[in-house]
Amino acid sequence: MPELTTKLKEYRARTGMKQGELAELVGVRRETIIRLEKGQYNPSLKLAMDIAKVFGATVEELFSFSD
Amino acid sequence: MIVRIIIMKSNKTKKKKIENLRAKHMAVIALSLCGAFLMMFTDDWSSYICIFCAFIATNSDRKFESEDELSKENMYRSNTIVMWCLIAAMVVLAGYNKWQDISYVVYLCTACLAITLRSILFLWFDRTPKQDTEDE
Repeated sequence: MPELTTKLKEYRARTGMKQGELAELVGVRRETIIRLEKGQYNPSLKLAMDIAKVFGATVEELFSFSD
Repeated sequence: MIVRIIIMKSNKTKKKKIENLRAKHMAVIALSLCGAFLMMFTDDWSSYICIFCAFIATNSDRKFESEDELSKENMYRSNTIVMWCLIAAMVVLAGYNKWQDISYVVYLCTACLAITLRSILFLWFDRTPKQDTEDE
């Protein structure tokens, strides 16, 4: 099964944003951001796009699947 | 983006404190367990108050943070498990009822325990290891 890898933490660290702040910006809980950063949760397309929009990146830059 | 963060930070002080979903489910567990135990041992009006409070806590989203997609998914998983447990419990109780009459207290306690199990499972699926969280 393909595994979700994400550069979310990297992007967040680059902008100096905290997990809670990002969560508030995209309208989810901090737990969701933590799970996303760990690659333990597949976000919906809307959430992925919202996060990408916050960082000014594309969804493909942030999330990818590896075999 | 930076402007949005600054606005968000300036508004932070104005916002009233919102309890998280974990606190809500802890309250539901405590109240429904109290209701079940009170019903088992006393069967007076206090147990009904506890069950009523648990019901209110379960269905209230006023002072608690709104559910996001992860919490909805976790709740869906816990609801599925609880539903099958309830079906199993009903089958067992129906079978037992054939030989001996079962008190209404048993059914009410089963309902309370189902609510408790639902919240426990939600907390289990929603758990976050301490090392993954950051100091905020």
